[in-house]
Amino acid sequence: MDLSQTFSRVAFYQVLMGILTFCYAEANPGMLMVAGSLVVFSRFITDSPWGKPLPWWVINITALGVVAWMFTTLALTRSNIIVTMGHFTMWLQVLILFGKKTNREYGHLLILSLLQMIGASILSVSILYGAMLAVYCVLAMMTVLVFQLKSSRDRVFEANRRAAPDRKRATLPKPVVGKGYRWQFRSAAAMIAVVSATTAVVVFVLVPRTKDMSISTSGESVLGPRQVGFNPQVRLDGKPIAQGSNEPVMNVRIEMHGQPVSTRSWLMRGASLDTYDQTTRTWKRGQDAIESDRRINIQTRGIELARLPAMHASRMMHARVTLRQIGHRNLFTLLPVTQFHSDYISSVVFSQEDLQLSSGGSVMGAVVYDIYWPAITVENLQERYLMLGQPNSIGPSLNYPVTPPPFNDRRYGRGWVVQSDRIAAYARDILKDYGLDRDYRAAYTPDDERIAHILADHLKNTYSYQLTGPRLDQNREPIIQFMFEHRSGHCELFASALAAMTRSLGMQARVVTGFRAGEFNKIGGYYVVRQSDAHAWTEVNLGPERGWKSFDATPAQEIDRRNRDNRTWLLTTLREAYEHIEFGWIRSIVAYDVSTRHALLFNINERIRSISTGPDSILGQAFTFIRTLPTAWRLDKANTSKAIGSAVLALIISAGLLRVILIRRRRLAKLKLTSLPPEKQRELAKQLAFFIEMNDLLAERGHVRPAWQNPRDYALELAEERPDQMAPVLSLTDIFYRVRFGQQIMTGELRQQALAQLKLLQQALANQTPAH
Amino acid sequence: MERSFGRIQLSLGSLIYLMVTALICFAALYTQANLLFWTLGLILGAFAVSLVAALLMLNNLDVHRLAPLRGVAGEPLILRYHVTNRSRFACFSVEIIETWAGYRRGRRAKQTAGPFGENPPKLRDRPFGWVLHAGPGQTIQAEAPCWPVRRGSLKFERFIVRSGFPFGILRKVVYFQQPGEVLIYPPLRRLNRQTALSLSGNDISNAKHADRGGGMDEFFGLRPYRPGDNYKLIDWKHSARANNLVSREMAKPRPPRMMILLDLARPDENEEPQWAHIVDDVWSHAQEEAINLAGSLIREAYLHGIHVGLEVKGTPAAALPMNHNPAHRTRLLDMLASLDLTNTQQTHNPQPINPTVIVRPNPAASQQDGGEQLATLINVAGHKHWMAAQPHTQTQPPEPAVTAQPTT
Repeated sequence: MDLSQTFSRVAFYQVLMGILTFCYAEANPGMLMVAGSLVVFSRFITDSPWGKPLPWWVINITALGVVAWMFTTLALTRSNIIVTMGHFTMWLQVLILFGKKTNREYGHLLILSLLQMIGASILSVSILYGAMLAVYCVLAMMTVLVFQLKSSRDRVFEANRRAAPDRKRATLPKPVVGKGYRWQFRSAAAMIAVVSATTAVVVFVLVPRTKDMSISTSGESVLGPRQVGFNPQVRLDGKPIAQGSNEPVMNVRIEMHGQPVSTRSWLMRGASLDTYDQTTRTWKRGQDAIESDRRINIQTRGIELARLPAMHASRMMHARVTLRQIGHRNLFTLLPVTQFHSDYISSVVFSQEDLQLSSGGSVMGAVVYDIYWPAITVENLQERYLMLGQPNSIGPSLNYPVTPPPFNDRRYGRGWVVQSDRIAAYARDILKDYGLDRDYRAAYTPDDERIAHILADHLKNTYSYQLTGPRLDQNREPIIQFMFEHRSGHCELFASALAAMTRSLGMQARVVTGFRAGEFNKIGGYYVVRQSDAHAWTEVNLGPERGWKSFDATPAQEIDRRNRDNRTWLLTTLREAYEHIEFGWIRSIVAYDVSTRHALLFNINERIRSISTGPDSILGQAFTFIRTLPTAWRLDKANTSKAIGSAVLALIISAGLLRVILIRRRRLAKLKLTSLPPEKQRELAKQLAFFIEMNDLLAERGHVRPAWQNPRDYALELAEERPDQMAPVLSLTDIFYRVRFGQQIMTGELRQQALAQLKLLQQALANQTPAH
Repeated sequence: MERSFGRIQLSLGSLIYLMVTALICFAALYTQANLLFWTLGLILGAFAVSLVAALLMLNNLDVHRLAPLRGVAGEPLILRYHVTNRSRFACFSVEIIETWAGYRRGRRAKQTAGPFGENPPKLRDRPFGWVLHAGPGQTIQAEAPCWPVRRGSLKFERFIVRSGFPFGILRKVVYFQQPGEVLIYPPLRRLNRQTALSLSGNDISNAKHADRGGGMDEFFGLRPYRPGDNYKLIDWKHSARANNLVSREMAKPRPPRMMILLDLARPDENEEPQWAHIVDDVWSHAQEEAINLAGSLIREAYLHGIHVGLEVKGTPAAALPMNHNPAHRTRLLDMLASLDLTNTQQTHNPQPINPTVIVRPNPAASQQDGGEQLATLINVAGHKHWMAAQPHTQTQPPEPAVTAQPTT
């Protein structure tokens, strides 16, 4: 076994697997192509028989360059530190692979690979990543096992070199191995893997979890902004926006009366943006709304955000949201959220004015939470929200007042500043066809809902939805260009246009960003929300009684057409199945938390208790059965005798069978026939019984054939020592060889001959004094 | 053989491993990332496996050292170990290391123990053996090469059997007490091809005949016929003249012989005034070189079929007469290997011998070129003394009669 080659191979595979896994977790195929190609290339450059490693000075200079690159990247571009560190480790690995590799360099490679995996564990929650991690762990275990063997050999070699007068005279120690080495090594590796995996499961289940994500304030800076298609601000800079990927962002199970709802699309709101900054052309959250934020600690039973009348208790909708890893704090809810619960988050920040909900700390990894909202319209809902928690003081640098001022309802979500008259005229022109108009000074009118519907429908029907174009002039107002010139654009422009029109008529409106959940997974019974489902729409306040209502001005058909894939039924089903498995992975592994832990331990405890204690348990039933056995089987004297007789007979037969089996096994072992097919074993064992008898006879007299000597040499030796007594041994051994190896059938004549020789041997040995 | 209880040791690697574990534990608790908890579990699992393996490994392992009786300085000496695994579990990556009481790692510490306690030490470093795998119930043989530096008795005390399998985190160590001894011959170097023959006073191609008959070579003399004599050897002319059968007796060829006198006695100032300033260490080194030369001569003589004898002067040792057989050669080399230079008492030899070759230490020559030059040889062929190398001053390099080359 060439340990060096084996180790070099498994270490190479491990490094390659580490790079592949990290690039997958980072979703960076370009880096995978570059780093992977270089790693594969290094195998031919340095490890092939004609290969030669690069000189160390080249490697060291390049390493300095890589360090400089890393610091530059971190300092100037402020990129994600984990991703940058992952890239840095990859480049270092590539450099080490191109150099001369001793055990130390291999150790560096493995440690760098381990660091990559730790980073990747933070970056990805995908089940595919989990599978890759499992493969990586198996590879790593094999690498470490072989590395241990190799380093042990190298240590011995180095000691021999130190001891030798000339270091060149010391040679690599030859691997001394026993029989079945490979099989036993693999068995040991498998056993180690099982024990390690079992310990990992125990540690994973039993280690207590905390609710707080400790990287509360620095979470975003450590991870950097993570693009998930959702943005807590809408920046209308005129540039086309790219459609997000198909990577799922969250799964939403929506239930009513315990039954999943799958009939319609849902707008999962993340950020409420009430202020439009015309200089930066950005929709953002206004100061009033920010000041109305309250930090609420989550109780065991969750938070009741609004107190609803008792009649609504049975008409509540419930959604369980499994949010994958994101890089911001916004939580996605449905309008109007009235209850919230999560075991993953210790506190939330909630504004009862714009109903924006976000996590009190950074959201790392997967998060599961439940939201509840009334299925029907609740009158005066805004007044039913409770004043909960403490004012949210985000930080001293922002200089927020600890006690927020009273919310200015007259100012919030009102007024339009960019060509308001023109937009109002345009809106009124649309409404004129429906015989409607609106007084700008009125806070609310009974027609507000209809007006909003008409304006939204107008945008839907007369404007076209385009993600990538047309390119707007950055020096002019994008909403004006969209409304009066291009008449096509993306959802943010539609939402902004509707907000602009309603506001220009004096209505209270805001732009909301989030996701549009429309793809239902039939296998799992939940909606799958992807990055490409990121969306923006408008909410309009219809008065104190009706409250805020969502209006989506974007043509839904065009969105659906764009998002609809042309997969066949089979592919769609496979995809749904895969995503469902991944959902289970996220729920049970990635999002394993305090409550899951408690529930799991409780279930295990209950199961053990049900097995071990109580009269209905399995053990209890067994005890009862044994206890009632004497009474259940009441035997009279005759039957007792019969039973005892039968038992004795069964015992004798079993003993006889056991003896036959043992004798047969002994014969096979003594004749070393175990490697033959079973039929051949049986046949030869029967025919060669005389040889065992001969050996037994000899053994009684103290002649035992040593293990290293073959039967023929042993027979010759005995015959030379005592030719008068041991001559039959030669004849019997000759018969043995003819039958065992000479393909000769043990005929009756040959059997008679063997028996005669045995008898002769017996007689000869009878005259000899037994050896002690 | 005594076997100690196994001990479990932590190495530097294990400390690093624990540090990495602590780091991942901290990262997992800090970030609450569940995949990091998995990683932590796997790492702890690996540690648990290491602990179980360390507890089980080597428990029923029997190891016996099978050392050879003799070795040669400068040549590899293979120590063999009989390893029997009586456990139900296979053993992997077992290292066997010879050690001595008081041995500590480190350059300075190891000078005080076993073969390292002498000056110069008999070994450069400890012998290491390695077994990659010993299956349950199997017996295998491992090897540990070592290179003895100088002649003498190389004593072994005990050896360590250890294994860090599977991950090298924890290392199980068992001590086996098994005293043993190997007699190390002086370095046997190859001399110039004709040296031994020229020093023996005979040459195989032109061998001188002994003054006795009984051979089948040239004519030696006449003698009365004895029954059984070859008829061809009957000298009919002399038989007729003597009226009795007379046989020709042919000469018996005498093999070349070499009686070596190894003169290790230190001359006084009157004999060798220029050696008065030689310090003891240099003198000892020269003595060792003389012994090496004598050993090399014996080896060379044996290869050429020369009868060799040895007498040592200056230290107690029995004189061995000339002979030629493997056992005799072994006796000669054993004697050289066992010479105790600290004892200067001369053994009285009742039968004075006539040496063919005198080997003497030549400290001045030994100082040249790091001791590559050997001791002085003096050929005493018959009554004529032939001085191979004269005593010389340091400015005048010696002219050795024999140059030695290391055996390749």
